[in-house]
Amino acid sequence: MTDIQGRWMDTPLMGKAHDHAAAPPLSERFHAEARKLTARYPEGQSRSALLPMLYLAQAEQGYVSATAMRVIGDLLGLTRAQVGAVATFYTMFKRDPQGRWLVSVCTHPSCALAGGQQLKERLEQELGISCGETSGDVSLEEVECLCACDGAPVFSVNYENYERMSVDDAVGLVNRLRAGEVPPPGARGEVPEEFGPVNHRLSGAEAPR
Amino acid sequence: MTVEQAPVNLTIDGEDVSVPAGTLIIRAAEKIGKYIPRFCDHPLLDPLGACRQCLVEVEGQRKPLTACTTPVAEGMVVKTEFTSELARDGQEGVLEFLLINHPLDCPMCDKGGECPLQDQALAYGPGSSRYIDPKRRFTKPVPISPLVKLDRERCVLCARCTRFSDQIAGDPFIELFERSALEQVAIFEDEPYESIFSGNVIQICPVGALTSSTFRFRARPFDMASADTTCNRCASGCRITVQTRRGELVRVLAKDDREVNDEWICDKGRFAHPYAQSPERVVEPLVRKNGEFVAVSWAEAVQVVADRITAAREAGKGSAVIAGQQLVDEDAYALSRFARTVLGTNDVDARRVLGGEDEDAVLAALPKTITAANQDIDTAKLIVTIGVDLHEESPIVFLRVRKAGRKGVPVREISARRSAGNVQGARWTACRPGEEATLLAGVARALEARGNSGLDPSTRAAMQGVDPTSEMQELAAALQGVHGSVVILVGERLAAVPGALGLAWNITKAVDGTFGWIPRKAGARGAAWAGLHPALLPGGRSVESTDDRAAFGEVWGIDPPSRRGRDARAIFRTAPELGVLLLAGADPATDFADRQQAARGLDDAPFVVALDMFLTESARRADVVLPAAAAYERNGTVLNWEGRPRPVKAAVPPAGLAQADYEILAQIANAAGGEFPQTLEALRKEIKALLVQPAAARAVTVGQLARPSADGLVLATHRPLLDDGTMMKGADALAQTAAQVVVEINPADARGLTSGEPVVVHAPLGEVRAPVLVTDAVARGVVFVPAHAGFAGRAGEAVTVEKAGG
Amino acid sequence: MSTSTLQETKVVTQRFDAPDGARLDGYRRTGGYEALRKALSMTPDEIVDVIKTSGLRGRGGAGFPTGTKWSFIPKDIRPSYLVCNADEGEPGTFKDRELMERDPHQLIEGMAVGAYAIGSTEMYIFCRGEFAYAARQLERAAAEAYEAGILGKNIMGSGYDLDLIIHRGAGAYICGEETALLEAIEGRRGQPRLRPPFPATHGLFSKPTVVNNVETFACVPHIITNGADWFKDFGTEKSPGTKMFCLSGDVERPGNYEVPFGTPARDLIEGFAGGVKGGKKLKAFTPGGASSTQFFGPDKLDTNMDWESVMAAGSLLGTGAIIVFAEDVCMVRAALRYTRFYAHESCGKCTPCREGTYWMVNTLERFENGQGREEDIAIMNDVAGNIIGRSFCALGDFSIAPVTSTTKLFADEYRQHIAKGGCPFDR
Repeated sequence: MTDIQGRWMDTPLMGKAHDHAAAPPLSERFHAEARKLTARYPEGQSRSALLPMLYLAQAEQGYVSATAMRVIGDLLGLTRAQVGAVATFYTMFKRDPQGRWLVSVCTHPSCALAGGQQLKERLEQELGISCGETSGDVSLEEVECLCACDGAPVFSVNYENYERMSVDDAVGLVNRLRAGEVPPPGARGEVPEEFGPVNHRLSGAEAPR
Repeated sequence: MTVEQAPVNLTIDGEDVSVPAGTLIIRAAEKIGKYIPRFCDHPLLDPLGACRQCLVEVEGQRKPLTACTTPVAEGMVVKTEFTSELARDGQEGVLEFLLINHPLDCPMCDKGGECPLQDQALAYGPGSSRYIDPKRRFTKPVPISPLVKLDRERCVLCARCTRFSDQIAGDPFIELFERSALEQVAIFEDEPYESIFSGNVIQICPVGALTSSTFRFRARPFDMASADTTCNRCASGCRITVQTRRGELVRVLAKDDREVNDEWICDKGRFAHPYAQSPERVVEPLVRKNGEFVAVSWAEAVQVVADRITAAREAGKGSAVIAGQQLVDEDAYALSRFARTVLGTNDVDARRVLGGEDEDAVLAALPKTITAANQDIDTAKLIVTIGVDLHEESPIVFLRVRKAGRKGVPVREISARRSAGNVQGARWTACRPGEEATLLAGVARALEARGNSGLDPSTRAAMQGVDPTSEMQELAAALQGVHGSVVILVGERLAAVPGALGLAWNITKAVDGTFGWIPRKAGARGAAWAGLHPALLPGGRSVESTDDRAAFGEVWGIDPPSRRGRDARAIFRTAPELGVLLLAGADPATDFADRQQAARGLDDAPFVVALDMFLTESARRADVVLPAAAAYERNGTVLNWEGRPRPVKAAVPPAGLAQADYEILAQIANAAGGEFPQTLEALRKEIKALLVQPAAARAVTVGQLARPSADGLVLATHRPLLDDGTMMKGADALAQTAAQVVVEINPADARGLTSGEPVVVHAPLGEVRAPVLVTDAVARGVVFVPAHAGFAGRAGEAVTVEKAGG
Repeated sequence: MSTSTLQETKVVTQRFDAPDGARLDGYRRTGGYEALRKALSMTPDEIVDVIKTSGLRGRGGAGFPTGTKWSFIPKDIRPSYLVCNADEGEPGTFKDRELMERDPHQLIEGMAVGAYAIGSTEMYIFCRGEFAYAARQLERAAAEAYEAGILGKNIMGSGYDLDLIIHRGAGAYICGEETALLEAIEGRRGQPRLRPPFPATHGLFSKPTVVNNVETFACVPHIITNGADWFKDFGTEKSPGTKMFCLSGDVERPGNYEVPFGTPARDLIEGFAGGVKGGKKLKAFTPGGASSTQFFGPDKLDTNMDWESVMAAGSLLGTGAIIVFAEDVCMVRAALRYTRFYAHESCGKCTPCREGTYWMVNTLERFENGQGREEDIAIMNDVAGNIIGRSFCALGDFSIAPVTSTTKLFADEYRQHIAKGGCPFDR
């Protein structure tokens, strides 16, 4: 059985294999913001900053690298295994560098009945990749229910929803992304941020408290 | 008995059972001989309830409950699979689930024959599986350390290994990754599972997912013979089961002993057994003829030695004994008796750290009264360690202290180098070697200032002139606050600091605590008890006491000599004047800080006899080498650090012509003309006769305190657990998990050095080249170098460090 | 397609159509934060009483009485924590997202009242990672609230301090389970915890904690303002108040519709949502999302949508997510997709859920590929029977629902797959 991303069940051990050459080293800003994030939580509960820090690293490197897991482990007094155990539990932490735009397609029945499955297959065809892979600026993934079912079929670009689009229109949008254009505003009227800034926001570094 | 402590009464399958409140159903069932199948449950790990195998029906509950997470309640009616369809169906269902992805590996899986999954599938599972789809596959096996191999396909995700590593050992290098059917035990590739306790997960894994790389494919459980004995690789005294296949030692397992080692042993105890069957063992008596060793018969060898002993006595030349610290108690006693009655000398020493009067007094006092036991660690409200790295030097005691730390008990470490062991909330007080006495004197002074009136006069005298620092004040406050429930554990290294041992002892007495002396080696406590010491007779008696000598004389037939003997250092210095120098399980040319002195002494001594298993650096210099049996090859008793006698039982016959030390000594004694106990029974009878009355309590006086160490850098050193000693021979996989030798220095002293670059440490007795590690786990003004073959150094010596190479 | 003549009862959705309802000035102009002001003048006990009396039940799926939950918090152990479960992940549910997007202040106000009631000075919103826009709305609203002294020190001049931390999820449905949610906030794998102890005494950071759903908190300001009796006037005795029902799937007008509890399913599906799309016949619908223990057929259209009626009809109200399937939908394929969801989202901790969902997915895949066997239907149901009630948490219990309900109601479709050697449907 393959999992939802189409990955074969066998996974190599976490480690050097997950340091892709392209990842830039973590910056001073990362460390400063990581420290600030730890301060949000009560004394002795710095571990709560783990998921936020993983987002922060992903914001800089485009994925969660083995190096990032090492650095974060040192910052929080955790072993690398403990960090890896958490990072691999959650689907939003990526193992490979993502493109500027992560396109997520829902294929649950509410969306499938409105064309979600076809959209996924057309996109794989157009981009020439399978879900879980990246082609240029665009990474493609199949996801579980995005909980916007009234807008079926739903897909998102960096978690900004696009709803009720025809399969052709949706494919057209993604093709334009691949051509280097920025996406149009999503279903709520706002333009998605790029993958880096989106993850930076996910870390909570920009939240009021 | 208060209401809260009243036992709870319930029924399990109609049978009445009464257990303390808070007992889990699964434990209550075991009390009446009922086994409820389980995987994730383990009595020493926090309940998890993950595998769902232990489902039972509880009247009044609509769902079956897991017996391993549900405490009993008054009047509870529990039905296991014997009397409940629901429970039986539930258990069968879980087993069927576990088997759908489990590979059919039994024929080639090491666990086969001792596998809880096999056993429970047979007893509680369905007869066959209805699953016809593909199983999840993983690359297998994957080495997660040189010692442990992981097979993710076999894993049932009981999380025993990850919980053990996290909760018990404090080494969470192994964790559950991913989720859903992809969930797997894994490590981070460049952070292998290097924990000194890693072998325990092999033993508690209920399937063949974690297997030993050294035991792989070597034997089926039903092919092996077992002997329950005691490990002798440190002073923890763990119970072990040694298993052999056709006479070959193949495996060591931990044996359950809640009072000492729970169900754990360290990797050294588990994997370092190959030395006993190493081809390098000396298996025949060797006598030097024309400069070369020649194998001879026992009769000849014994006669040669006996003749030399007789000749020495007639020529009025003294003889001496340097004993090792791995001797079994009966051997140690026999050696002590041999020295006094056959060699006629008190020049006997087993110590590696030579101290002052206070060391003598503490060693004498050990056999009785205020010594600590494991249960004291369990119930203490404060635990203090001084001059010992428990994680490195007595790992299972470390686990017990860690257990206390997890419950919130404060643990204070006073040492030159912070232990690598992970104890929750532990506080480290950095203390340069040599300054422990001053620190303790300051604590004593602060204690008195806080109203403690229990300090003895010698301590009070010694502490004058010491101004307690705020750290000493704080320690004193902590101690005073837990009057009556503090455990103070000191390392044998503390003896090198005059006054330190004595102060530690007296402070412990003053706060009504218990005192533990933690030696590095398994036979050290036994050696002290047996009187392998220039001033002590067995049982803490004194050579300088007329009454004590007379009591021994009555049983031995000869009074021991009355003058205090020479210590090991003096023995080597005066080696040329000796008649016979007897080494019993000792390798001073390797172990002593001043190796050159020891080697010279051995070369200069006219006649050296070595009882040993190997041709060590020292044995090579002997005139006669007599092959000694290894601990796995004979019976006996060993005192662990608590003074608890632990039985040693033979698992294999002695290699070649080797004999136990006591047998060898008896034969020499007889050949030299005299009565000597021949058997273990005879030795034990003598011991009993001599030591029925405990020795009179002696005060431990503190003499002159150590002068504070010089400015600049001083050396801190101790032998790592996984060292390069002879008893690590053949344990190649284990040796790969040993830490590389590095020179550790505090950032304040590093002066431009960066971690990883090669440096040279110059010490008075030698130098060492190694990579440096700049770390704040080492006190300021201290350089830490682990004791190893290429390096000789004494703690507290002044050293210098510089970059290596041009 | 005609618009419905039915009217919604807009309590928590009343500001949805206001252009500035999500902004502080728009919120205040329509009476926002007056409930909080009133609550700050009451005692915590009084507030808990009002919520208890109102009969408000949790809208996250379990329907536990909210006031009772709040009353479990011990008074003598501090700090206590108030946590909002905004990790909406139940397939077919999209009410929490819309509440956060269109009326974030309502959530903040409801939480603030709750925090005050349980003596908590630190509230957490655990917001699903994929909810980018909703989270931005929350962050904007929180910033406004801090600016206006509604959050922070001495809120609204009351002397009470209150902080809000928005903590994001990272893609795990199981984190909608309250103890798994707490694990995620604490920086661990999102696997549910052993209970007892319960979050009420040992929750976040081992401190007393209340975890409630977004919609639940959204009701709170209205109850404080209008009183418990007013709230009980809506709905039924056992299910008081209004509920946002999420209509999706094969309907003309999918969306959230807020109606009193007890409204018949037919009104929602055929009335508000305009009936089955394209005028097709209804084959099945879920009363409470994919986790509805039983899917309903057309014969159940007149079921009243409240806790007790849906249970009496054999299913669970859950989150109130009504997914509609038209006559030409392959129920086997739907079951497969939902079961794949559970298999993928299973945390892996317990054997029945981890292995059982894997097994069911494999079997369903074989059916879709034409390799199903007659005995597989019984085997799957038996497997389901070995999961329910035996798993560590409710995900396991609910994971079987698609299989058990479709094999029960649509066994013939399974047989058609066997006969045809493949899927006989197009969608």
